[in-house]
Formats: sequence, C-alpha cells, structure tokens
Amino acid sequence: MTLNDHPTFLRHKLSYTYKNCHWKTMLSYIRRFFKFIHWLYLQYLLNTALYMLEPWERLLFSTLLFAILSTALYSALVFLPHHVRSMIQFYS
Amino acid sequence: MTGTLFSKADKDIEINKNNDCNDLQCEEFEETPLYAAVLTYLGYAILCLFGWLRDFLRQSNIEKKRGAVDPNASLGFVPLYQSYESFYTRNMYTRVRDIFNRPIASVPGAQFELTERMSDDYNWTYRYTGKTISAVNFGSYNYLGFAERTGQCATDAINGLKSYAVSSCGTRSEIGTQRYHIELEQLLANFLGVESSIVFGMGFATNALNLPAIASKGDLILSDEMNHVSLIIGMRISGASYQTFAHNDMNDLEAKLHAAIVHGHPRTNRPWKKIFIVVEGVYSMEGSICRLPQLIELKKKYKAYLYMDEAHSIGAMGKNGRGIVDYFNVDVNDVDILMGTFTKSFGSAGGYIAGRKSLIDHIRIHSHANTYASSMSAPIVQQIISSLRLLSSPEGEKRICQLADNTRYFRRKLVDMGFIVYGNKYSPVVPMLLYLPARVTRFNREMLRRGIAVVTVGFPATKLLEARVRFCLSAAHTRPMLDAALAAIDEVGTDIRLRYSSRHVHRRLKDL
Repeated sequence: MTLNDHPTFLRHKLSYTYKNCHWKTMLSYIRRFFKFIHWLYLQYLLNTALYMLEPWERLLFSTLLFAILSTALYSALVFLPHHVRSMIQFYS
Repeated sequence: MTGTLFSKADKDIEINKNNDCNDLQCEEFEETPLYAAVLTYLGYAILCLFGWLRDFLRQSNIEKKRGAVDPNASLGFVPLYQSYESFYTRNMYTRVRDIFNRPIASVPGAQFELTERMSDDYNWTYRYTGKTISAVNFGSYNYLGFAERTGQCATDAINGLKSYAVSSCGTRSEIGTQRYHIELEQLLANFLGVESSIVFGMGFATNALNLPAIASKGDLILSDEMNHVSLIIGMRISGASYQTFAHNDMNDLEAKLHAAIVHGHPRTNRPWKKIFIVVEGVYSMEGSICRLPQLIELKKKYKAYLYMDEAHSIGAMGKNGRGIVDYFNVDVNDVDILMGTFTKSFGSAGGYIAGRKSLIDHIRIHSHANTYASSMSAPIVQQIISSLRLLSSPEGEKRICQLADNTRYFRRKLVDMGFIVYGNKYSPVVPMLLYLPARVTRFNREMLRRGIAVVTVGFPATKLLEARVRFCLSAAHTRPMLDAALAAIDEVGTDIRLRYSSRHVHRRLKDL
C-alpha cells in the first residue's frame, strides 16, 4: 500500500493546481501526510484488535511488540554479517 | 448408490446452474480469504490474552469486579453460571457493548430515532444523555414497511383497541377466542391458499410448542444445520430423534433419508414412525432460500413430511407476497406444514401454522400454545387483518414491487463494489461479511456517525470467523436512502478495507 494508493491522496490529486502558493501546498502536503500516518495507525489498531482495548492495554501491547521487534532487529544487525560470512566460508 | 434422485452428473449440472445467475436459486457463498481468517484469529488471540490478564487482575482483587458476581460461590456452593460463556461476555462482548442492543425512541420505520447513551467506564454502565440520534434503519425486520404510526393499518388497530380493549383475558380454549381470531384465521388461509390455519401470540413459541404436538418419540426429524433456535428447541422438547443435514445440500439430505428408511432406529433397527424435514424459507443469517422444488420431489419419493418455517419470507418473497411457495410457483398443498410469523412483514406480533384442516384441528387440541397461552390481543390482530387486506390491493403490490426493486438494486451495487455478500440474489436479507472483530465495531460506529443504523453480528450468533453486518431491506426505503447508505458503506469500506471479494473487481461507488 503506497502513498499514492491511499484514498485521500487520489481524491486530492485531481484538485491540485499550479496557482496555489508554495507554503499553502506545503501545508496541505504535511496535513495529508499526518492523515496518512493516522490512517496507518488505525489499520494497526484494527488488524490486531487493539481498537477494542483500553489505552493502557494498547500501550502495554505496543511496548512489548516494539521491544521484541527491536531486539530481533538489533540481533540481526549485529550477528547476521558474521553468520553469513562464516556460512559462505563453511560451504566453499 | 443406484436410484438416487440426484446422481453425480446432476450434481455438476446443479453447481453450474447455481453459478448461472438467471435461476431463482442463484446463490453465492464466497470462501473466506486467507489473510482475513489469519487476522481474525490473531485478533481473537490477542483479545483472549488480554482477557486472561484482566481476569487475573480481577480475581486477585487488583481491579474491581464489574460484572455480576455469584454471591453463593464464596459460601461453597457450586457456581451457577458456566465459566467460558462468561469469559467471552466479560472480556470481548462488554468492551464493545455499545454497538449492540441500542434502545430506540420511535416507531422502527425506515427513518427512526436512537437514544444516545454515553459510557464513562468502557461500557460497563451507561448514562442516557436524553438526546436522540436520527438514523436510517437497516436493522428492523420491516420488509413491507408496515411499521408506521399513521395509515390504514394503524387506524384499524386503534379502532380495534377501542372496540375490544387490550387483553382477551383468557386462553383460546376458555372464552378467549374472539370474532377477530376466526376472521384472521380464515383470511390467512385464503391468502395462503390452504384449507385452514391457526394463529398464536408469539412466533418463537409457535415453533417451540407446536413441534411437540406433531412430532413425538419414535419419529425422526431431519433439520437444516442453519435452522433457528426455536425449531431446535421444539425438536428437543418433542422427544423425537433429530439429525442435521448440510445447509441446503439436497444430496446430503437424500443420503440421510435413504439411510433412515433402510436402517431405522440406531440400535434396534425398528422403522421410524414418521420422518419430518424441517427447513426455513429464508435463512436470516445467510440470506439463502431453501430449495423447495427439490425438497418436494424428495418428500414425495421418500414419503416424508415437510415443515417450512417462513418467518422471513412470508410477505417478502413471491410476486403476490405469499412466500416461497409463490416464489417457486409450486403447489401449496405439497408443503405439509406451513409456519410463519407476523412480526417481520406484517408489522405486528405472533405466528401461525397453516395446512390441511385435519392437521390444524389436531393442533388446536394438542398444542400447549393453544390451551395455555393467552390469545392474541385485539389491536395486534387488527393490524395483521388490515395488512393482509392491503396486500391483495394495488397498494400492496406496489410495496412488494418496491421491496423487490430495492433488493435487486442494493445487492447489485454491493457485489459490484467488491464486498462479499452471502445468499440468494433475490432475498431481502443482505449479510455482508466483515470477519475481523475490530473492523466490525469500527464499521458499526462509523455508519452510525454517518446516520445509518445497522446490525452487526459476531461470534455466538455466527461462526467465529464469519462476523457480518446484516442489512434488512424494506419497502419503506426510498432510492435516496439506499444511495446514502451505499455512499456511507463505500467510504467506510475503503477506509477500513472491507473489500474482500476475489470473484468481483473492487470498485468505488462513483465508478459504477
């Protein structure tokens, strides 16, 4: 799902004109971007059923998820190059 | 198996016939997409985990217990309530309870008022602000639009109230039968084209208390797996043995009929005294229609009795509004026991059973609903009488045509937009699948924000995966109302990604 497939973007693309001054279009782009981020957050809440939970439960779950994912990412970044190199050495 | 009515070659032709949508039995039940199933299970797993956490917090008194607490449990008594159902109710249902069971504040016509209620403690308690929300009604069973405060039917009901007062203060068998009961039964029998009919005050009780009057121990009842609870309770009370066959699957039914006649009772192999086939005209959760022509062929071949529950289809289906028998244009005497309710299409309350005079006379004597329940109230009976008279007039035909038109339009648009819609193309009950529990609640709340009140159903009423929204179309819905609803569904469906169908192209409403 890219930025261009997002529904509000498709609608606003047709109303873009060259006559707007630059800071106004910048502002509308920023507003659209924040709306897109809010929409992504809503998708996260809906797909994991966090939408039905209370705010402290959402915080708990998101913290745990972030902790697990960041630990996995960190371990991958630290250990993968060495593992891949030693695997190549082992099989060559 | 030689001699089956529907051989394998016929089954292939039947499958093709069902996909070719010019037939009266054109139904579509698209399979659940894999990602939707995975996300639904993930959602329920997370809800379950948090449910265990909250239950632990409540049990160890860190959090206050909000729900009903059994006071005898602490004294050493056996618990009164079952624990798993309470788990679901406490931890999943109560969190989003505000989308279910909303009280209404006006007559449930096409446009109605909902009472607004706010909750400060996540739906454990409500406070009513006193304001009402005006919304388009897609939840009430108002198929022909008879739920109205003004008009011929309402005037007749008020006149009935003025003539006969509210209660009849007796049962049908003890000075409770009035002139209007006899008039209603004759009118109904003429409307359906049968010899005789009998009416009861409650539709659920009609099924639950009359199946025991006609079926008993030593009989076999073959019921569709999607049958309503009232039929299942009636079967259990009657004491007959019952088996279920796959939903609308005539081959499965034929195999079971064949086996029942050949083998008889399970252990003793005695022959069954009677065999009943119990089906519904229109299934309210699936939107599908029973296969009446094939059922009548099967019933005649194997000498079984057919009981058809037309709760949702009487008045709503058929070109004269006479139900599924009219829809398929078959002989009404082929269905042995016709049952229906007055709650859905006639804007009233109660149920009826219609058929041959000998059957109805037997039910009059042996049914508990006749001898113990108080007879129907005067204004209710007057409403049914005037709506039945209205149905035979040109205005009634206009309502039936409007309902059929609304059904075809609404279903066509939903399917073309790419949503998964179950059921027959011509049934006024439109179930649209939403799968994920969080998307179901978001859909319901967003539709109400846009002024459309819908009924969403989840786990105990449907299977765990197939949570859905059920639109009940009405002859009172105008084209602008349907368009407003479709625009809202389009917008909300795009926002929360409800277009699951892989058989139809996903389109926005403005592209149709």
